[in-house]
Amino acid sequence: MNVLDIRNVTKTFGDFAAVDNMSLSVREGEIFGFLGANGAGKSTTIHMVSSLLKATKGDIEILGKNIAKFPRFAKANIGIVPQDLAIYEQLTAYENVRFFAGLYGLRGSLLQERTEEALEFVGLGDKAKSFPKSFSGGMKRRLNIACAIAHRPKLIIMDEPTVGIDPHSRNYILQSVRKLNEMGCTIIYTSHYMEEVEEICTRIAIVDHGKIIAEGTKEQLKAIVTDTKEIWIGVRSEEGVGIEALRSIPGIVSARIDDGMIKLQSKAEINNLNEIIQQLIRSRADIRSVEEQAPNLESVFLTLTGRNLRD
Amino acid sequence: MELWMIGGKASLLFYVVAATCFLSGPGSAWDIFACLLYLILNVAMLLFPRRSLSAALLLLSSSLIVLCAARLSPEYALLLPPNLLELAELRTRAEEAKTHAPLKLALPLLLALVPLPFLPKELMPLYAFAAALSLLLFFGLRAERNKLSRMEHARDRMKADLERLTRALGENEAYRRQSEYTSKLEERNRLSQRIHDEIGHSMAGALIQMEASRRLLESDRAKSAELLGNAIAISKEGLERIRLALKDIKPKAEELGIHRLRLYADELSARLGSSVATTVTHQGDLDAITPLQWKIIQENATEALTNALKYSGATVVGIEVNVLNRFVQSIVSDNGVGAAKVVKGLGIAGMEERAASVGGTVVVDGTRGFRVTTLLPREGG
Amino acid sequence: MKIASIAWKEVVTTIRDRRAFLFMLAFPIVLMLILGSALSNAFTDSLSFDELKLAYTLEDQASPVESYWNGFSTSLASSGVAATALSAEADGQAAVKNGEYAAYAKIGSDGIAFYGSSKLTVESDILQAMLASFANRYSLAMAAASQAPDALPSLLAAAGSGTYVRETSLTADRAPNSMDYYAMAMSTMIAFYACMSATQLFRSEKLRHTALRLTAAPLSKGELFAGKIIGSTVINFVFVIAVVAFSRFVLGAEWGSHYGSVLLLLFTEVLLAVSVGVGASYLFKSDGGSSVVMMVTQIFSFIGGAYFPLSGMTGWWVWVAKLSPLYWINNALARIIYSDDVQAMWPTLLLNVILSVLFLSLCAAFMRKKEAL
Repeated sequence: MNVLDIRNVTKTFGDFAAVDNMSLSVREGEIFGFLGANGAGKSTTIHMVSSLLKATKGDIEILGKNIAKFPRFAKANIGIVPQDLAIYEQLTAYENVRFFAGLYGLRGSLLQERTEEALEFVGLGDKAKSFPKSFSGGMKRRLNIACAIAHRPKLIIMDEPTVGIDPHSRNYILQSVRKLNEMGCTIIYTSHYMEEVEEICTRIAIVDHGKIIAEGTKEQLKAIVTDTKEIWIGVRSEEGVGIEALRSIPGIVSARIDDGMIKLQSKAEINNLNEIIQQLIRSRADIRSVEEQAPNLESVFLTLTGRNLRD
Repeated sequence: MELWMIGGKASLLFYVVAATCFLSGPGSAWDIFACLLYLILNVAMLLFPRRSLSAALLLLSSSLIVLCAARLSPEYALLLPPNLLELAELRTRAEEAKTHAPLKLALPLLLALVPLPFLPKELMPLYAFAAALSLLLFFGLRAERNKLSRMEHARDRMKADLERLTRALGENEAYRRQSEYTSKLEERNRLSQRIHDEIGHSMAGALIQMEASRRLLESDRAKSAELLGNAIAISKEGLERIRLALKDIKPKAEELGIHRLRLYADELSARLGSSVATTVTHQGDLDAITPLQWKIIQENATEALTNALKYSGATVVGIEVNVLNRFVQSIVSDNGVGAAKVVKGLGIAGMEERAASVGGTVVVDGTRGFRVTTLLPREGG
Repeated sequence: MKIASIAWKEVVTTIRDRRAFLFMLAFPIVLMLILGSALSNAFTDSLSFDELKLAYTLEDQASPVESYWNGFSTSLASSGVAATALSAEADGQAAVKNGEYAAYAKIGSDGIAFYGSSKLTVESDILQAMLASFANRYSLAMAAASQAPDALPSLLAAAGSGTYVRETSLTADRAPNSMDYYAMAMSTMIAFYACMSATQLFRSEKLRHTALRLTAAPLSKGELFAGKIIGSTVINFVFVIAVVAFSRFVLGAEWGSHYGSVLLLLFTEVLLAVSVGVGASYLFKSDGGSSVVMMVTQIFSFIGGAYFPLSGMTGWWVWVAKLSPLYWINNALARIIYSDDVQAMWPTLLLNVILSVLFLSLCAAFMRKKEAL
């Protein structure tokens, strides 16, 4: 079952197409990463999914129901963690969560229970009565998340939830995202931090100029540019290094030796470093350094869009 | 459209207010209340596009007017015609197809004149005047609206026509290319025919001569040597023909692909003088690019280059063809002015269409000069 | 229920916003105190003088005026007038000019010549009035004596003595003093100030980015709108009640006996103010709305009588004043409080409500059209 289906959606502002004929599906149980530079159309897409903007063209379905026809159903099943802190400074942490959860129709003891649960979940249980003014950046971010999850949505959309916070809070938030996912939530995650996306997302889409230019698991994405990795091994002496023997190791595509550096090209998905090292030891080569360069998302992004994610 | 009707109502209201509150002594609080209520009802009508609701509000407003005319001052009846006409309009729109033209005219007319007999005599001409003006406004608006919708229809039709013609044009273009391609195929066919005809025949001739020479080797050595000499001559000739034929085929590889891109880029630089430097680079195994993909890359690059040279004021344009593991990527980038927000024109749409035909995408970036990236999935990849 | 929780949130956030709190409570109370005490003179109807100094000369010592005058001067002394007889040679007029006396009277047999001080105008006016009434009584007595000469002495004695100042108030018993007036004016002003915070009602959500959450929640725009309007009206009305209560119980201002009507009228005023504020925030983009409303509020306050009473105004000024909602409301309130005219509430009340409905439906129309908040 797809939690989210976007079909040929276009959003134009005047002449400018912020989202351009985009199609995308998010399956249940995924942590779906949304990668794109500023202005690539991520936020516009997210805003359309959460009914903040209306699509100019195309259909969006949440749990199989069109959001234009069943807005309440769609909204009730989505929790959005906005990029900017969206909390009231004059309300305590508890009141903030309670207010937003109340908007989703929770009442009475259930509302209280879910509010407390959400605060516990983000580790602010003991700060329930404090005002956000006294919170650190990370704590505010966590409260920002709590406000979005108290009504137990099926789909949680997190728009840059870790901007500008300390590593500790970031780890905490990443852990929470995983935990929410284990509890059955499907998550859409956008971030400027490639490592975060690589670490937690099960599927990733790269967005540029309102279009999805690549989509898949991180392995699939990495394979877009190349399916080989470079292994460079520095040796003290070129003599006795059995280049031919190295070539016969499974996965090795090419091998050559160049100025004391064995340069191997290997299939990226095969882990053959052990065999290579063993072979070199058998041939009594004197290894000085080993360096492996596998393709990463950053380079994939750079190759496909011509710019860095944080440009 | 609505604005005109609002204007008509407002002027009538102004008259009624003037007549009830200023001309015939100061109006009572009830007069003000009635006017404001009328205002609210008629503003509310604009808020609710649902027909049933507007109909309810119209009825409410009409009954308010009747009530006021009866209880407060007969002048209020002047407000009635627009409301009645709007009611008539709702009805005719509801049964657009079924209503006949005379009925369309008669119904509003009758409706607007219904209150006339109930009015005091001195107000009758005034009411008739107001009703007539409202009717004119109403009919005028209706004519305008019909005209507008007709024009919209016409525009839609023309748009569809345009689309169809554009597509036909594209198809014709494709046909032209196709025939070009076919002619090339024919050429190749002819070539292979030639090889078959000429080389095949000469080989067969040489073979027969050699066979005869072997038979005569014992009995007539001189004759045999002559035949062998013939065979050698025929073979030599055949070999030469093969060379020639192959030479005919060879340049085709140059015409296609990266060479052609280079050629085109050079041509363009030459045409524009030395002001624009073009570079063509490539990376990866170019053999993986299918002819169809080359065609798309070529056409998109042409389009992008033309745009770059026309609009961006660039001095350096780079064409890059990269064969990635899963994609074929071609990038045309320039160092011109670019554009913060790229507005999609026909050119970009055309590029997108071409790329989409093989499952690819085109991304146009204008932040640092223009950069048009065409991404095509590798076949079998 | 969602409407209630939005309204609740509006109330709580406003109460906890210290600036709003100070602005809506301390500001009107301080103004009330300052204006109420500084301008108390403009409202008072009594003046007190230490002593009215009158100089006089009797030109004809022998005439019947003399005995008559003597009676008069003793009664003058009891009214707090110090009458000093000057010798015939002394220059009474110069003495008045120098400010030694408030007035100088030269009493001859054919009448009294009166010279008033141009500096002590109030005193000289009083003295002139007293002398005029003395002269009247004297001529009356003389006329009577010509009919019955015997009675002359007793008539003269009666004419000379007695009271020459009768207290008659020109204003009604219940007229506002300055504190009463400013308690009312400040309360209506602060009720109208609700429109300033109302301009921020939706903008603040956008600035705080919470608009995004509100739009993403399964909540209709109508519910949000209603909740916000209700919340804002309620909390601003609470501020107004607090100001009214403070003026009534701490400053002892007069609020009449029809509290229900007064409060109802103030409530509709708050509603009107909130509607105007919200309307402006939709009509003007970005911060334009709040500055326009700020100006309009100040103008309305000024011409509506928030800073000075309009009772003395005439002509075009009244026409201008009538444009200000504060004017209608202040007028209606004054009639309820001082004339027990509860019926005066209805026209203003209806006007407030109808204008609010108009503004709110305009906003609703705008809101429907807009994509986001």
